[in-house]
Amino acid sequence: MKPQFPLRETQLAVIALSGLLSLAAAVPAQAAEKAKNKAGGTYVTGDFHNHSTCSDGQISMQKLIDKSVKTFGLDWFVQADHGGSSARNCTFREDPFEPVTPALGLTTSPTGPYPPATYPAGSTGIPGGQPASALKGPNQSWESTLPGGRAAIKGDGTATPKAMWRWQEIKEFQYKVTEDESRARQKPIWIGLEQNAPGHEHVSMVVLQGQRPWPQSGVVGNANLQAQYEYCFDRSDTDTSRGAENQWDCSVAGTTSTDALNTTSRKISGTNAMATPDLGHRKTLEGLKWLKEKAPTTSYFVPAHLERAGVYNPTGNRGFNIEHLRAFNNLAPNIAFGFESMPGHQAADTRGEYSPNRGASLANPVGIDSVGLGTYGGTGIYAAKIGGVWDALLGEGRNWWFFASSDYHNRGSFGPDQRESNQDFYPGEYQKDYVMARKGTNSLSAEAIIDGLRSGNSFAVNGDLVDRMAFVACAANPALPRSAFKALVEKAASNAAANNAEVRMDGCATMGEKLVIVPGADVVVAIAVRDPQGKNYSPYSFANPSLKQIGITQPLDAPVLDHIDVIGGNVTGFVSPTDTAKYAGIEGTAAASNTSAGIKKVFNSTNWTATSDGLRVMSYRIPAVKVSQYFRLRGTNLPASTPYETDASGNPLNDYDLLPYFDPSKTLAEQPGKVACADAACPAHMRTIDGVKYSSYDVSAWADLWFYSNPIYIEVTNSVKVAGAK
Amino acid sequence: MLMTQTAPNVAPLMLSTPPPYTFFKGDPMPTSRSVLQKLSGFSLAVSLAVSLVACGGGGPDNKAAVSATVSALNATLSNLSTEAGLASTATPASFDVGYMDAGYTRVMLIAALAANADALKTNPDLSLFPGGTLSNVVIAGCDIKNVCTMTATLTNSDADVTAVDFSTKVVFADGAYRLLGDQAAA
Repeated sequence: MKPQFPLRETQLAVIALSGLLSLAAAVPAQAAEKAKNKAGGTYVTGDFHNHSTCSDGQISMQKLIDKSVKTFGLDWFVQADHGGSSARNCTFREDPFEPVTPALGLTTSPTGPYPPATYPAGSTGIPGGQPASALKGPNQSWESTLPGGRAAIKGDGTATPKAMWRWQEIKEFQYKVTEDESRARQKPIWIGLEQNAPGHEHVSMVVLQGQRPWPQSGVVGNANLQAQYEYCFDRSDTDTSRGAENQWDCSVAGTTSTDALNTTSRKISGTNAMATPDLGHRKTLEGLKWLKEKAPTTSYFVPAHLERAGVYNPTGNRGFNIEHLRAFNNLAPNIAFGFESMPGHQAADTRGEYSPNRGASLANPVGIDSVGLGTYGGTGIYAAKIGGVWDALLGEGRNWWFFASSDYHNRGSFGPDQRESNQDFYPGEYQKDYVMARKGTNSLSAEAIIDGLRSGNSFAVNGDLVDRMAFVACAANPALPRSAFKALVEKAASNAAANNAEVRMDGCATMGEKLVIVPGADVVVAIAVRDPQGKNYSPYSFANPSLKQIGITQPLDAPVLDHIDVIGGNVTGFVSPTDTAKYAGIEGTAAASNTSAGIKKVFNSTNWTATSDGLRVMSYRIPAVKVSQYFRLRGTNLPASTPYETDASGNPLNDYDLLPYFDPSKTLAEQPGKVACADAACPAHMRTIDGVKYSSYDVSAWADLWFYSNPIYIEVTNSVKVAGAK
Repeated sequence: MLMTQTAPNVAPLMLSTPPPYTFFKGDPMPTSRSVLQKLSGFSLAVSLAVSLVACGGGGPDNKAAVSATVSALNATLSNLSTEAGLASTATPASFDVGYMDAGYTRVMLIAALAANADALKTNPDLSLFPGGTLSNVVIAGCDIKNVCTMTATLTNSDADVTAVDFSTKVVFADGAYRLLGDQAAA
């Protein structure tokens, strides 16, 4: 059930990364920019991993974009379908647009955000507009709709209807639709890819080079490099045509790989397999080298739901161990700079689609254990476990940042315009990445957003638990009375949060930056967040079942921030790939742990200052700092010791254990559920066992909300250098 | 030394013998000229304070001394961004020898400044400290030991403007106010 291959992977890492230590050492180690050099910016919301009919999504690109940036108000959006191929002509939108009337008897509005009352009910009788079987709208095939028919579909393929390779979709069709949507809506929207990474599961990635989303106008851009990357490095793209007339060559200048390119396809053929262990992983590294060569400042590479598919398997395509994350970051620190440890699919029967024995069926009863056997408060164990994988990476001083994505495909048994879901949430509906875009007086741009993603000045939130954050660490000024200094930095944080901006003050560092101090200096950490007033996008206003257990009555659609944990750990420097015991290992091993990490401070209503507009302002002084370290934040609506949700220290518990679950393979015991959903308004789709409705699917997700900030580093001058952060 | 008072329940103003000038550890060795300058400044303060008393006493303290104090403190805060400023012996002069703020003493302050000055020589990335400028300074509520309360607005305008009001204790000596801190041990 749990293949463990740390040694083999270590050997691979040593081979693949020989000579790369110098690259890691070359990462500039500078303090936070002087305040006057930082252009003004704001935190902007977005999502970079969701699916449309271009791959296996339920709705068209246009409708998905509309939901994301209009209905749910995101500031930016990246359309990132799977690599491989698809038979559906995804330039078509839903036509006629046939949403159903809103479920749950909720009031409609002529302006949204939910289906306006003017929309007709679904004439097909099937909730949510065009069903997949209708062969209308976006479900029509390329072959039946392209003027050239089958002959216009390039590359290999014998199926009928013929599937189009994603490289052609991206290059010739999808890019133009996306650019048009971006310019029409005046928001940065561009094309990316959820790469089926060779040797691994998935990676959210982008090559922006060539794309010209809003605010650019006039000349039409292209996604040629994005398309070429898909052809060259996606595991599911087995086309050998070299991109037809493009005649692409996937070689990388100065490669250290000994894996030969196939003479026909001009790409590395194959992936991790018994005959060629680790081949796929090496190909993924080649892809990173390619990105570094072709688009060093306009690309990113973010492993997605990286615990879901289990531990790494050199002869299969599974998950990621810490050594792979280190290898990616060593090789291309400006491209591979973080992970999506808060996955999408938050309303699925097993939250995030993480579970034991994943993928098992009656026919094939042996599945794969997700690492951690579930999510924890909706986050994978790599980031959710204090002292785990993320803290191990931060303990090296790496620029390795936390992101969330919605990974929207569909709403399970509900239609795309219904508000309930037992599978996915729309981008912006439940999860948001807040990214600092230092755009100055310019319009928001894709480049500024990618710079923001790379900078680590970002945070991720679900359920709109908070919508503003200023998090800053400042070197205490010895010449100012303590009360004055505390007031100054708290006020700066408060002002910044009120303005949706960051603190720009010399002697302070914010998320993704480092503060450089002398040994023994005091540091003041100041935090201001806004617990937004009003309702989030939950369709449910009955009391949160999880909180109801402990006597708190709080509507699901009006969550209240309960507390914030300041989590910290020491920085001990980069681990050498040759230090096998510290470099490579699965979750829980020494290589994937930082024993110095812990909760350093807890803030709640007893020690923060609350204002009527929802701001919560707090600070604390860390005296006589002697070693390099980092601090990060997490917050939740759930108090510590909420049964089945949090432990006595406030750590999230395994969501899989909470949820009622029926295992189709019959290899796992059926779980009865833990938290009853007893309110009369509890929806009918909750799991019901022996007449008891249990909190599950979207209700359990709305009940259990978290946010995570990225870290602030503190470098002590005679201590360890924090190499990876500016 | 003359006390000017703003608190309504304070005993009648009185003159007291000026305390001897204290040379703080770390200050330059006094020269006859510097001593004269300090005494001269002190005499000015006394005479001005006397004039205030002559005018009926009460109200804000010695305006010149307050002004000088504000200038000195702002210079101190400004100097903390450079190695020379950090190392300058003028910087700690704004702090009384009895300075203590939440357990932080003048000796610790001088050590911290020296450490930062040294580190700055080899670490151009050193973050140093957020600072600001003082305005709206009012010194009042002086007691019999010349300990007064200073209230002020601290404004940082490195990029965005942040302003906060605060208060602390100062002591009047040698014609100038020096920071005394909150005198709390922690």
